[in-house]
This record gives sequence, C-alpha cells and structure tokens, in this order.
Amino acid sequence: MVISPDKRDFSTIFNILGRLLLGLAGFMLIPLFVAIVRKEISPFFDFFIGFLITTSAGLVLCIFFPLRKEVSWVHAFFTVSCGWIVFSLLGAIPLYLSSHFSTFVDAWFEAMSGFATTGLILVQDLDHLSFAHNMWRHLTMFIGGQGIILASLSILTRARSVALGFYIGEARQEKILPNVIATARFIWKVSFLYLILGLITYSVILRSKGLPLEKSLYHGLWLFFASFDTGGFAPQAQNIAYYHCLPLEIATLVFMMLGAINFNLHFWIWNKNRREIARNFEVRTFLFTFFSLLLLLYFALKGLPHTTMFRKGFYQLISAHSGCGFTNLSGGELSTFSTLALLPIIFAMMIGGGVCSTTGAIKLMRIGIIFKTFFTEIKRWMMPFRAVYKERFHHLQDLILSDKRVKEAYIYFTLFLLTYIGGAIVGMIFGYHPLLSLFESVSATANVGLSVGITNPAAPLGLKLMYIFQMWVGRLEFLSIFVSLGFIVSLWRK
Amino acid sequence: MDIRSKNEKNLFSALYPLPFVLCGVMFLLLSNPSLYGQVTSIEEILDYPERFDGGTVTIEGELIGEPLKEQSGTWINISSEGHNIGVFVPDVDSLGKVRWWGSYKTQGDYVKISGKFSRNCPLHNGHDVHAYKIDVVQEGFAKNEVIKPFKIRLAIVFFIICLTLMIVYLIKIWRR
Repeated sequence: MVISPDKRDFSTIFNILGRLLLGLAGFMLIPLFVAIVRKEISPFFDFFIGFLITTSAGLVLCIFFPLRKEVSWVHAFFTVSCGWIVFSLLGAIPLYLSSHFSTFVDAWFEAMSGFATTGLILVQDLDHLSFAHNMWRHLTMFIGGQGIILASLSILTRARSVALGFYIGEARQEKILPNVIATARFIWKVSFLYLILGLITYSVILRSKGLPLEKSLYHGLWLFFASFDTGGFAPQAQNIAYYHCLPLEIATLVFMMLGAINFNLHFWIWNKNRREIARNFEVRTFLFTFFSLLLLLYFALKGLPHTTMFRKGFYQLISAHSGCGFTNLSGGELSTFSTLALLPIIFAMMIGGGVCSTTGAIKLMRIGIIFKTFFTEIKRWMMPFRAVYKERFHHLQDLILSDKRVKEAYIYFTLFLLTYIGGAIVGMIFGYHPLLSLFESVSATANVGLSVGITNPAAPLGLKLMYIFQMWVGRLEFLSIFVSLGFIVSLWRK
Repeated sequence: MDIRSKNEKNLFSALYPLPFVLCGVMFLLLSNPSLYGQVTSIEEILDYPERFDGGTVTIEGELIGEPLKEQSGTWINISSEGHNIGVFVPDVDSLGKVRWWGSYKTQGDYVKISGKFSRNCPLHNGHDVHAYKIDVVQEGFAKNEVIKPFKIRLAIVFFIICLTLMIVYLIKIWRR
C-alpha cells in the first residue's frame, strides 16, 4: 500500500520549507555584509530585496501552514525536492537584479548551478561583477555542496527523528556516525577545517601573484568554495586560466580531490586507520578509472610537450573526475579538442567522485560494484555448478557484494545514463553536434560545469530549462524527486 | 618590326611577372593578416588558433583585474566582446601608461597590443600572446554606481510587508 499525503502533510511540508527559507535569508546576510564593507550600494539593494522577499516567503509559509503532523520521511523527501527548486528561485533574485543576466531564467540557471555545485554559467560580463554578487555565487556552492537541508539540520533540533530522511534525500547514503545530526556536524567540522587551510593556501599564492591583500582573501575564499565543494565557479570569466599560475592550479587539484573523497573516508583517516586509503574500494576504483582514462587522453594529446599535456589534459581530467569543473583552458579551447580527447573527459564526468562527498554523477562506489559484478559473474561460470561464492570488497570494513547493493548500483547507473542521453538528445534537437551535446548534458547532470560552449546566454530557452532540470535531478540523485512525484500522482488518483 | 611594337613587347615582358608578384603578396597577406597591422578579434583567435599560431597579432580590449607577477615578466588579461585572453608582458615598463584595470567599480583602459600568439606556448603551455607593444587607445575611468529607483521602491514595499509578517508571526508565537 502506498502512503498518500493529505492536506495536513502538505501543511507540514510547507512549514518546514518556510523555516528553511528563513535559513536561506540568513545566508543572504553574508553578501549583504560584503556589499556594506565594499561600499557596493546597488548590490546592497539587490541583496536587501532578496533577503526581504525570502524572509517574507518563509514567514508566510510558517504563519499559514502550521506543523500539523510529526515530521516523517515523506515530508523529508518532499521538502528536499521542493526545497532545491524554491531555494534556487529565491537565490536567483539578487543575481537577476545585478543586471548581469539577460533573463530571470538565466539567473535561475546560475543559482541552480551554484546550489547543485555544477559550475555552468550564464552570467554576462563576469569581470565587472560586484564582490557581493560573487560572494553569493560562491556561497551557493558551499551551501549546496554541504547540503542545504543538512546545513539547517545541524542546527535544527525538532527534526532529529527524520534527520536520516533529509540526509538520504540529499543523495547521501552513508552515515559517518550513528547519529545523523552528529554526522552532519562532523561534515561541517571537516569542511571548516579545510576552509581555513584552503583560504590560507589560496590567499598566499594569490598574494604572491600580486593581488591586493583584501582581494586575495576574497578570491582565496571563493576558490576554496568552488574547489572543495566541487562547484567550479570562479570570480573571473577565464576561470582558473585568469591567474596564469601553476602553483594555484596544483592547489586546486588537491582541494578538488579532497572534496571528491567520501567524508566517511576523511573520518577514518583522521580518527581510525590511515591505511584505509590504500585498501578502500572507492580509492582503488578511482585509481583504475583515472589511469585508464589518462592513458586514453595521453594517446589523444600525443605530440604535445609533457608540460602542456599536464596543464591541458591532466588538469581537465581531474577536474572532470572530481566533478569540480575548473578549467585552465582559454575560452572555447575545450571544443577544439579531438573526439578522442573529449571522450575520456566525458567518461570521467559520468563517473564522478565518492559517495557521501560533494560530487554528483554515478559515483565511484557504484561503478566499482558494476565492474566487480561483471568479474564475479565470469568467476561464477568458471566454478563448479554447486559452488557457493560470495564476492567481498573493502570499504571501511569488509563487505559482501550482496544482490541489494548490485541492484541499487545498476538502478542509479541506468537512471544517470538515461538522463545523460536524454539531455544529449535535447541538445541535438536544438541543432548541436551529438558529441558536444553529450558533453554538455553529462556536465550538467553530473554537476561538473566544464563546457564546450553550448551553455551561453544565447542558448535556446528549452535547453537552459533542460539543464536546470538535469542539474536538479543529478544533484538529488533521483530518489527524493521520484518519491515526491509518486506522492503527487497518488494524490491525483485520490 | 617598328620601334613602337618593340617597346610594347618590352613593356609586356616587364609586366609579365606582375600578376604572380601580386598573387604572392595576396597569399602572404591572407595567410598572415597581422602583417599589415590589422586588429584581429580575440574571438577569432580563440576560435581558429591554428590560423594565427606563431604569427604576430594585434588585438584590442579592456584590461581586466590586475597585473599578475611572473618571474620573467607580468601577465595581463584583456577582454573584448565577452572573450578574454592572457597576454604575457616581458617588459613591465611597457605597462607604465596603464592606469585603470576593469572591475566592478572601474572601466579598465582599452589597449591595443601587438605580439606573438602561440597556441601551445612553450613557456606557459597554453593559448597566449607575448606582447611586443602596448598602447592605451582609450583611458578607463571610475564608474558611478547608478541605483535604479525601482530597486529603492521595491525595497521599501518588501520591508513593510516583511515587517508586518514578522509582527504577525511573533504575535502567533506569543499567543501559543
């Protein structure tokens, strides 16, 4: 029997959403403060208006929709899927008011790209964008990367009973600590520690390049948000290529990788067993997929000097595999890559990073399980008919490759693959080259942000909306969206 | 053969190689447009880097951000019609005339740069221009912030709405 929501359920959902909107309004005070510090008057009004609208919306929901039921998993899934749409719509208001976006859809696209840690951009004349707006663009990635609901969850106390529902709804399948609230808080602790480390590293490098102290601090902070949360936004139009700085590129590689690692693995390395990194299933899968794709890329870029190969190939591959989307290439250079060079980057984007990390895409664990299932099946055929064989793998502890895990891996693999292909077909319908359409579609769904130039303000409206949808489903990994859709359908059948 | 026809024949034999010379000049001009100092758009260079690789190009655009130090020179970034490119300036003194760098509050100097474009620069491993000459075509300026009146009106309206809702919400909590 399927649980069908009633009016009281919706009232509860809207109430939670209202509270979360008040939290979003609180985040908007950060760029508002930056606008005051930097004496940016027009951006101050943009964020003041954004703050007022978001607060008003939150209050309306809290006043008119009381908490009529005990918060359950149904409400958690619904709140997560609606929350990301509403958050991106309201987060787009200050961006749209900046006059750097030709339409509201473009601003919405940018906000969704930020919250989903994608990094595809539609902002125009980025080099003249205010500090306040840049702070907001990068902050959306931090909020989204850590998990919007998770951010609130670590503060809220009333929703403890359904914390796991919110947690899973935001595409995180592993608890680090027995208590989800404790897990959420641990994730925030790790992030803040890396934030300090990242801020210092980036700021020192930028300062040595000649950036003024204040600007190097701002840029350092933004680059940290973009790299650790695998977002890929940058404060300048040329992305990382703007800085012309090899040490900075190396530092971004390190933080991209740290962001793509499972938070659980961070916890084990810190608190339990450092040897886990060498034994971990996800790490091994990453090494296998990364070096296979690197080999392919090596053949594609053969003939180029090794240093050029590193900066053009290796950097893009790590950026794609970690789901970050930073690029050190000149505008449009990626589209001049040969088909053989684009393919490993597409595959890397499709795979992504670890589960319970800030990345999107299929994820290493599922790819690893699929590979392992394949080899297990071959082994099974080679064994005596009555032999009972259980394949194991090591992820924090020795685990059995159960049918449940295999089924789950295949379901997600298929859903991601269908979305990748669906987006590519839509791109082709709008007249884009098949390979380039696939590249952009994968980049949007896997929340990467590398672009071959299809994503631009002049792109068709339908394609922009398709990419918004792909970023949304890709970030939430379908589950909470499908559950919500199921409830809506069940409501309709009533 | 009279003298006139003899002169004509000499003239023709003198002019005979001219079309070939003209074709040669045309070929040189078309194969490397920068030879005659024509300004090439950054967009064209980025779209067809193979056409300009190793040649001298002249580009124009707004200076963005700030000069970025490098051991043997300085990096600058210029932007034109939504397309940006990095320019390596070995002689830092050639930036002496530059005053304004584009940012939120400033419009950067509009400069004309001549230099060598490399698709895969052996020194810096990417698309770049190594500048020979930098001229400021148009000086930049500090921008005045314009606050649109509708923003102020909108802020006032939503401030009143928000304040009212806040009071209602607080009353509701107080009553509970």
